[in-house]
Amino acid sequence: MRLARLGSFHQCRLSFMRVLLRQLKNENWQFSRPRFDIDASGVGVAVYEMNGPSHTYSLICFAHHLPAELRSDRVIAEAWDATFALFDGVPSTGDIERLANNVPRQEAGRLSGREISLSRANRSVRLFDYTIECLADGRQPDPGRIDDVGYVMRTTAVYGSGKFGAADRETIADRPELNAPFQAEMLAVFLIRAFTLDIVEHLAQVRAPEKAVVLSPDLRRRFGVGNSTGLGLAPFIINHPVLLNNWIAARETALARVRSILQAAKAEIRLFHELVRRAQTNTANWRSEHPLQLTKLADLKGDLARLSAHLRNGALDKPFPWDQLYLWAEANLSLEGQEQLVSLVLEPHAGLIDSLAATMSANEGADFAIDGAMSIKRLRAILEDIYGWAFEIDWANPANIARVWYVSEEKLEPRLGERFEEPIEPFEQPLCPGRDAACLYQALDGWGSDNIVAAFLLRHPEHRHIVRRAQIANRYVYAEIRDNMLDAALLPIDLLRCKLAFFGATHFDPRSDRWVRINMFRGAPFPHEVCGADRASTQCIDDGLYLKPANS
Amino acid sequence: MSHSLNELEALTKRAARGAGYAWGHAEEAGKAARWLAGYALPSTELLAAHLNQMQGREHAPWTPHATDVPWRCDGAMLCPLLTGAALSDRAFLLAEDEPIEFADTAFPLLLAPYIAAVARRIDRVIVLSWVNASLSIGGHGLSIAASYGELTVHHASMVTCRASRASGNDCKAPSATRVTIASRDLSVLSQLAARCYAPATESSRLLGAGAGLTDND
Repeated sequence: MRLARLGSFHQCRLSFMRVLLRQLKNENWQFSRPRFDIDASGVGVAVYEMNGPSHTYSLICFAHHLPAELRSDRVIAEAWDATFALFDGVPSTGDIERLANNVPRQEAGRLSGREISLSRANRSVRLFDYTIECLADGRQPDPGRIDDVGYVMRTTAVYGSGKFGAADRETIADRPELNAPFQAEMLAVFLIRAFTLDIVEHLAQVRAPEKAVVLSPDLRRRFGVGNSTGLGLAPFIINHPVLLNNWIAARETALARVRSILQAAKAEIRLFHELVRRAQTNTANWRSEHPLQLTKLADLKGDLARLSAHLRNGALDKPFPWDQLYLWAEANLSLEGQEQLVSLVLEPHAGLIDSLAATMSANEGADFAIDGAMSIKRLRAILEDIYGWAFEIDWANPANIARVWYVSEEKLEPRLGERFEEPIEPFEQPLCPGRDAACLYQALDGWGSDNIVAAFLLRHPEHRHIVRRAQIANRYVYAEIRDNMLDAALLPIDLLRCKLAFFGATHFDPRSDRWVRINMFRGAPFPHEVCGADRASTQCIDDGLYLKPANS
Repeated sequence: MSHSLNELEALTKRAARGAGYAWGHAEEAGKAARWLAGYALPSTELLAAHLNQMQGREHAPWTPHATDVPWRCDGAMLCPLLTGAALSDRAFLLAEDEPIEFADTAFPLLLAPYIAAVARRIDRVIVLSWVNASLSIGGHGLSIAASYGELTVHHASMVTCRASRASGNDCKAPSATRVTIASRDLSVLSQLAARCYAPATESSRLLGAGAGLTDND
């Protein structure tokens, strides 16, 4: 559980986006677009509807006119190209009117318990107008230019879980279709993607009614929906240790199951070879200008080439082939390559793995209460076991506590500051369990082994939070990340990438150490394809994320 | 204004922190607010009043001596959040069937969520009572014999809790999924919560987050 590895995760079968796509197909969801009132300038309202076995969900889209100087990915932005709400059911005219007064204001508006998710998106200036131009001219955009960006619009926040008055997750989590993590948010993004391509085709049509064409289905799928993620997401996996544990445990269990296979079936070997080829294409299409990512990409390219060669030498023809392959990867590949390999070996084993998605939510309330009867001796042992690495760190050294996590009063935007350069220490959020555990361990000096945690906490309320964490981490082996979150060299993008990989994101493109652009659903079918009449022809519903080469 | 329970929990946690509670207590206060709201019991009204009286003060005098009989503190009144947490840490005491008493407790209803945590841990129904008020608190349900006025007293001179032999079959599960917060209470809690936020400055805006101020790419 180290950030360097978590920050090298790739999407896999258990990613939430893929869980959603499989569910939409297997449960026979129906898709329709009951409203698309967008005018010639790209302003208006649209509604996208998904009907499941027991519930209907509607994405309500508001398209706006946004002057370029107001276009920003930041939480503190106040206007956007498009804003969205995922509605629980079919919205009435009154609902849409109410939402028209609130959704475009985003954090400044209010939602009701009928709304599940709130989001917004901005145009990719690089690709939005270019695509319209091509289509209006009766031709398809160049695949290379599409791949350079990968989306015509990108979301800059997708809120759920009761934010701004929306429905709490607890009120909908019992629904089978929403039980796996972030399914509502993934559904919203899936529908947003459809909207972004629809609006581009619409504007081309408006520009040149006689001449305009729509995107060819293959090219259309090469567009995902982008996303810009910053520090708002970073604390999540620190603040939800049980949930993080369950995600990692599912992935580790999946890997263990595959590694225990005695012999690889021919079909699986064929598929695996194909996927390695497609992973290489993926890597070739993966654009970034960030020096860190460029290094990782170079490593990954090299790793995949080594993997290819290793496979050509019959790597899968041995007993316990996947286990041997994994061990070979550990010894021969960079972290990027190792984690890419993990994702790849899971791919051919749907039957073994897909059911693990049901184990990835968490009842966080169940582990919240502190066990005050625990002895000081036991607590010390737990701290040594889980946080021993933190005891080795000199917490008085400024380089080790250079950073401070805080929340700005500006729209409550989470930020990461420099402890010794800005006056923000009084506002520090508790996001470094390692340091807190080291402080706790010191504070236990002088307390008798047989005394109890309850007595200690009555005297030392300042350690209550870390005691709770330590007891949780003791029960859940993957709950705690063993890294210093205040280090001068901390890369928050590692935190972001871990969570985003579980979402199913691809094409991580860090723009700084704390901000990343990604792509969601690139290569995937569209709602009308997953739920449409040609459903039967959509073969592997969710492996499109490994793009076929453009000419294949 | 209608709020989700998540909003209530987050606001209460930050307000408690702003009122001087440690993060561990603040997060439990957030859960406590949520528990009360789930049963449509007064939450923000009492929390706003209590956090208001705790902010700017030393909390030690309000902290129980958990080995006294009844529990008391050095100051005039026990803080129900600190007392509830201390009781929750000592759930085993109630499993022994002996009553626990608290002298001079502020806003005794605020103890109820912590007692529910004990009830879950020891799998018993626990009766929490003070003059003219009695709550049977199970791990997953609640039954009340008290008027609104009696539930929302600002102070009780003696509060008792005791594990009961009752089955808990007449305890009703929580059913509220939203909470309405009076604007006066919202204002008090928001102001306390705002103490957790760093002031906006030009350099913080430029350096603290990631993306630029305009993103036209």
